[in-house]
Amino acid sequence: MSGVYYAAPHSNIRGSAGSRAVEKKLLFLAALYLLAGIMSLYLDESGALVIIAVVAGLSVAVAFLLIHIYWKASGFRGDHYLLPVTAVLISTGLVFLFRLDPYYGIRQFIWILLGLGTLVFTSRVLVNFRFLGDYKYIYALLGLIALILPIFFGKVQGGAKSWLDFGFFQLQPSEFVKILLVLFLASYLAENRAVLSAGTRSLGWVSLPDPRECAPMVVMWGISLLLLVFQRDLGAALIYFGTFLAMVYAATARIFYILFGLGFFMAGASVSYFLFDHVRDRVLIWLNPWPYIDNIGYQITQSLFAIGSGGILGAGFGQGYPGYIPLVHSDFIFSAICEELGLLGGAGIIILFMILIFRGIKIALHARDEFSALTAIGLTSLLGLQTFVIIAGVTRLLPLTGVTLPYISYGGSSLLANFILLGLLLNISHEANDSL
Amino acid sequence: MFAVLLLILRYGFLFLLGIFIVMLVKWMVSDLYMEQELRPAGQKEMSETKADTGRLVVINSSLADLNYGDTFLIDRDIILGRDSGSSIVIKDTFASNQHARVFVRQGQYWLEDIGSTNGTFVNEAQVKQPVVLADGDRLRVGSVTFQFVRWGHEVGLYN
Repeated sequence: MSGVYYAAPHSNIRGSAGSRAVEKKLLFLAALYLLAGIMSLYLDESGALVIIAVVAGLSVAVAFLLIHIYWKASGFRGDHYLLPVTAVLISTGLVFLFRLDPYYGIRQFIWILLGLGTLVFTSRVLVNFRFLGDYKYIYALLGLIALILPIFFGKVQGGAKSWLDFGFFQLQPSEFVKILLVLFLASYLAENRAVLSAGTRSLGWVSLPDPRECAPMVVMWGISLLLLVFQRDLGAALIYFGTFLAMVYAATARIFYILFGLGFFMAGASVSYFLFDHVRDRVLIWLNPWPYIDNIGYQITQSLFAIGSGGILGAGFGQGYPGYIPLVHSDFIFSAICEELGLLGGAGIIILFMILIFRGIKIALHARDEFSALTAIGLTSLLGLQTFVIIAGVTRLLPLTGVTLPYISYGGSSLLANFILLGLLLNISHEANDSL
Repeated sequence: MFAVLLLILRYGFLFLLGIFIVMLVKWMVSDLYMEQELRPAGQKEMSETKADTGRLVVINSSLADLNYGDTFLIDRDIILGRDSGSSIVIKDTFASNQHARVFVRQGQYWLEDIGSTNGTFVNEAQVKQPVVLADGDRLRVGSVTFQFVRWGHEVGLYN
């Protein structure tokens, strides 16, 4: 037989979850990190801005600790590591935004507080998240509406027409639609998993599911891709599609779907290369940005200069010149981190994201049923892919596609959506730990 | 002096990031060890819950290392046999090296005799082909009798 199993006599199988001591200690460290960052920025200055920055830093640190206290008091058993890791990422973002442009720092501070409110709300109201699985066609509809709206009423920003303008703030619906997409797919796949993985008709050496079973899925996916082409939001299209493939694979364990999907993706990518100028530009500056350093390649080359000049230890926080990179506060914030904190800081941020993904997959493995496991997998791949796409983009590993770096980049929609994502992951782990 | 403090703070920022990651990984790893101790056979089917994990409780044994009340959780496929590599080692002369197997399929516990010499018995009926175990079934291998318990919390069989 396969291996030796050890089944020792047990008297009790209760876990020691419940006390969130580790979370508390890690949150204190995160608070220290945030305050050190703020202090080193403003120690030699004075004025109203310094007071605002210090107040912002202190409030964010306290807000995180308050959430911890609230969860402890209310017996919430969600994962202990997600909140501290997020706290450090959020702190890095806040400190860097204050350093790059205090205007964005202050706005980000307000978004963080709103986001933390959303997190508490999610962990409170959606704690029995299972009912979310009952409304999958409503999500598909809502998602479609939210994606169509910006095409007609949208505002072009950074080459992508995916923003709704509400006067004093703008909303990017595709950030929220990605969560709806995950919920839809999780619910749909949990219901049709058996049919999809077995297949009912055979085509040569592969057995295909009945077209009726996969029609809603293909339609949902095709429409979202088309819309994203119209909105010219390449990054989001890539993330949607990757998440879709990851979830289908997690549900069916059939490599055939992945190959099929990748084939589709390649076809779509080559078609859009020939059809759209902005796609061609992106590929061009990815292969060799240097001839275009004065125009379309300016942003990516400045990013490469910044990362390169950081070296191993970085220029020191506040000592670099990341201001030369256009859009450094949102898509390119990772380059600024690499310039000032060096290879060590950049690697640290990547490690933190890897830990988030590790916890997400762990939550999925421990989930109690297929819907929650698939939701956890979907949310985790969403987070992982988005991080990968933007970090690979600014370091020129992949063609650049404009998406935010989760929890770090400036952006209200992205922050709120990622806090909802975090809340859902925590709820799934809360339920799994509850049965221990 | 002030400049030195600023320098320390600047690199302290990066240093604290490092400290955070080190502590995080340290605690996560010790968490993993703890989990391993709590659930030795680890892995479980996705759909079942831990509360109703089946278990085998010794109710009759003439062997020194298996005592009345000893409980074995079945959270993955297990092998019963005389071989010391078995999940449950039965040092009985009537037990074969690899005697029987209990496995979980879709929330049900199956018992299969894997070619033992003297047979496996459920409620004193010999097992010819895989059978589903129900709560309360008595499983006998050689001179050792186990009771299969599915809802451990509700059965007051052992103290």
